[in-house]
Amino acid sequence: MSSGNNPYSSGGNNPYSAGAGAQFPASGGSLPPQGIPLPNYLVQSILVTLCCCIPFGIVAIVFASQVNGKIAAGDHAGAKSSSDKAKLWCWISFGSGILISIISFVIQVVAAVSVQQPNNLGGM
Amino acid sequence: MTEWSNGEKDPSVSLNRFSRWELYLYIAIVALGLVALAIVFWFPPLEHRFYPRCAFHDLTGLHCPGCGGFRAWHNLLNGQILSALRMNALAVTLLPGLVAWLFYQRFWFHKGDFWTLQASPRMHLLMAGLVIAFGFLRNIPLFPFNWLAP
Repeated sequence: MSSGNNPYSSGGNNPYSAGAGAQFPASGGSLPPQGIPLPNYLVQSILVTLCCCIPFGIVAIVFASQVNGKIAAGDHAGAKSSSDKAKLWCWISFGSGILISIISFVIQVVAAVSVQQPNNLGGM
Repeated sequence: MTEWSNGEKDPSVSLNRFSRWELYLYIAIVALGLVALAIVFWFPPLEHRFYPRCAFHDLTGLHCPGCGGFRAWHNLLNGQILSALRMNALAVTLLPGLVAWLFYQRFWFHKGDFWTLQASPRMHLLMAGLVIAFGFLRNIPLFPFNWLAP
């Protein structure tokens, strides 16, 4: 969802570029080593769960909630894996939510038209 | 192996230095939010059919974590706080809290990715558990829990 724009593109400081840890040599040793920020998709998964009403959103929430814990535990590969799975399930929830909404809208329109013109059904 | 980080202060990201597209993103979020709030404020969800129905509720009869959200926001915007909490307590508390926290951490913490909450792992587990527990508990048709269902 945030992939369409890069909030870090200002000023030429891009943490996604290689060598992000070497960006602030003048800051001395006071700063912690700068890793690459890893999106955990918890906000997105909560939004798709609340707005799309799809049980898949729960799966996304479960994966998203694991990301920061794994970073804290030093499991960087596991954190990346959970982040990717959360992203995948967010998109699955979003896509199926849109799809089901369209299908349900079409069904309602068809039902409304059928109610307005009962002869269409009565003639069967 | 790639080193990932979260929640560390990034001096390159500050209020004065964000790109044009990031500004557009914030304007779009605020504008869409205000339009949505205006629609929900003026049009009662129970009397208008243009609101999206919950397919999960239609198929299973169960309440999803978002069911009753439009009614809850309509009640809240019209000053009926208790009936808003009665319709969907999570939607009227967690959503504004999340939005407020996202903008707060961006403009007053100066921390990383806009959409990623910079909170402790325990806080993330707590929020995830809150949504999931809310989704389960509101489907229990007994006294304290049926107040969570719309």
